[in-house]
Amino acid sequence: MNQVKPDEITSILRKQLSGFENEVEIYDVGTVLQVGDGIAIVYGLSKVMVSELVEFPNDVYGMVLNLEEDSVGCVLFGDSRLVKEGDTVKRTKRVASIPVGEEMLGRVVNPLGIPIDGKGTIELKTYLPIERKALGVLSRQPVKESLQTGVTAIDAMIPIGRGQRELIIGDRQTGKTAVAIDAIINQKFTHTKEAEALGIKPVYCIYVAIGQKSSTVAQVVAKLKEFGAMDYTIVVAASASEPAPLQFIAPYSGATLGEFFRDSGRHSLVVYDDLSKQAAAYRELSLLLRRPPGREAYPGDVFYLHSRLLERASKLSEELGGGSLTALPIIETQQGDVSAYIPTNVISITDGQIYLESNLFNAGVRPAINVGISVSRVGGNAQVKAMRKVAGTLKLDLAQYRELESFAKFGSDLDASTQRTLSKGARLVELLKQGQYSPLPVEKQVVSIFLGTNGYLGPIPVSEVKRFEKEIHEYMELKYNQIFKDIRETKQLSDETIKLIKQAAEEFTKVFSK
Amino acid sequence: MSLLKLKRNYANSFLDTCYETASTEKVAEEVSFFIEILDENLQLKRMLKNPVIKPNKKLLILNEIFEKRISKGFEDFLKLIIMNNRADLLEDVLKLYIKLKDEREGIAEVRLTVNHLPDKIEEEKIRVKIADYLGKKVVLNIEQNSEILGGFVAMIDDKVIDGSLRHQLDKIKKTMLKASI
Repeated sequence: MNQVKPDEITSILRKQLSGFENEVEIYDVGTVLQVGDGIAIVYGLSKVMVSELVEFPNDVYGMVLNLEEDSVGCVLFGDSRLVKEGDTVKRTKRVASIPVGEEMLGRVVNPLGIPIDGKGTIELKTYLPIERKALGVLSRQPVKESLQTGVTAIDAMIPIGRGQRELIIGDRQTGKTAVAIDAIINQKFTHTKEAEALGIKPVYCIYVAIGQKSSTVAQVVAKLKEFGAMDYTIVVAASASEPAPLQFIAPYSGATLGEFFRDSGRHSLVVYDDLSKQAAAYRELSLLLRRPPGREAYPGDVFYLHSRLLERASKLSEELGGGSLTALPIIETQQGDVSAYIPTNVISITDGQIYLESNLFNAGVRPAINVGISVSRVGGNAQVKAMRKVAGTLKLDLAQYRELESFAKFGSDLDASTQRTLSKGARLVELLKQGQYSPLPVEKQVVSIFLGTNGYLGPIPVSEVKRFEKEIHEYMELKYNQIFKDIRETKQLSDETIKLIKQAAEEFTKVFSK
Repeated sequence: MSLLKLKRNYANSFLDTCYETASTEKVAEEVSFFIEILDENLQLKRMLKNPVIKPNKKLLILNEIFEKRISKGFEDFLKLIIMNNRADLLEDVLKLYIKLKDEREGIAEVRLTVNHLPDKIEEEKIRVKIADYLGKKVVLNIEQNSEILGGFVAMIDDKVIDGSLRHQLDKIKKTMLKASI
């Protein structure tokens, strides 16, 4: 163990005391009238602001949510058992805020910015309010840069742009978090020198875990560490055991952290995992604050709860530095019911959604994305040109395949063209399957899809498609590295490159079938 | 209408009529006396709040107790509020009356907590200081509490002016705990 010298301690304490001002302090107070269930009703605090932090005894902090004629309703961020009736409440005169800075990267913090990973305090001077108003029209510009998730199905057919809000929606156990984590892991490339040379700016990630099991959060953090993604990621965790108010503010804290990067001209990706639990937490505290319940007992402003959060995702104009905040909210549906209250709300707010289905998942299609109903409303403009060129027919091919899929059981009784569509579709579906934590760079995705849509997978048995894909990538890397280099650097698919791909594919198919 | 607004309406209109008849000071004294009597007699308080007792009866009882002790204006006000079936609010309204009157006349009631009772000169000094800070006339209510160790704590409604030794020590404790070793 390290030895600590008494001299050292004395000097530290002296330093702390040197700034101590021995002055009469003036502050505003109130008295706790009622406390319980994480809510305190306070008398007094006459000049308090909405969403101001207030200090209770025993270092418990609270946030003001209700201003009533003769009382103030506060939510508690700590243990409500430490607060008693008659306790004095002090104003802090600052709205709930979170410290921001690069030092937060690689850390796991709670929604108030207090580290919970046991790696010591984070010394930060800048505090930004948790609730900030979203930027107006003038400060924005259209989404134009792509954000590669590394998941082929998404990058090809549901492209996400930097500054977009793309909802990930699906039942439990359909791989929603996996998609988001893959997207975070895939941003590792943007932090390399190679990406810098290609003009790809780094994307800083914030993963907000709301109402999840602490063990799940720990698992995610471990995975991110394993793939070296924690270096550019901040995890904001309000697990299921935290009081509802902390779960309620967690996404806003995440957005504030993301905005710090955005406002300094950088790019950020914020994953809110998941907003259904946040809505439930908000419902809990709204009911406790006696706000009138509406549909499914959610309060009337539950739409605003999510819209004001997701509006904070943005691509800034060049005058403001051109930074961006991309939001990937996650919503859990019950038995595929997307017409429930919260899912419809969030679907209408976001710029598109990725549907994950449990029957696809169980059929082995992973990621279990239903590409038929998944859309991206703005990402198309941001898609890499080479990808747009090859993916154009992909969606159509898959749609035709789905239409005829039910006939597949008739086998050889079908006419030749139907059989061709079915065989191609089956191979494409197989091609879009992808393992977890194995994001593909865009150039490889382009090549794969080119091969799939141009019939090069025809002779390959469906079960061998994935092996074929992997091996042809390796083959190209060794012999035709020019292909990947060209696509990566020019982001275009030139006729020469197409020629090279065709040549490589023909050569490799011969070797492969043997 | 919320009860708070209702109380404020009664108190304000009572105060306005008192200003019109220039009887504010006299009535304020009577109101304080009335509140004192109420505080001392729990039964009287209960009687006022009891919905079973008819307003007429309540008025009769109050008349018997306070007849000739209170002025016509106050008596009329009591009659009005009781006949309106709002006797349960009476105590709060009267307290609010005193508060509103102080507010209008720029008087602040300050609760001063000290460890050692100050002498007359010190008290005057404190009064002048606080009055300067608030820009109002100050009425001091001095309490003794050894828990604050030294110095003073002044409370004006929600505002606290804390110059106590206890608070200083708490602050030092917090500063020291912040130091990371």
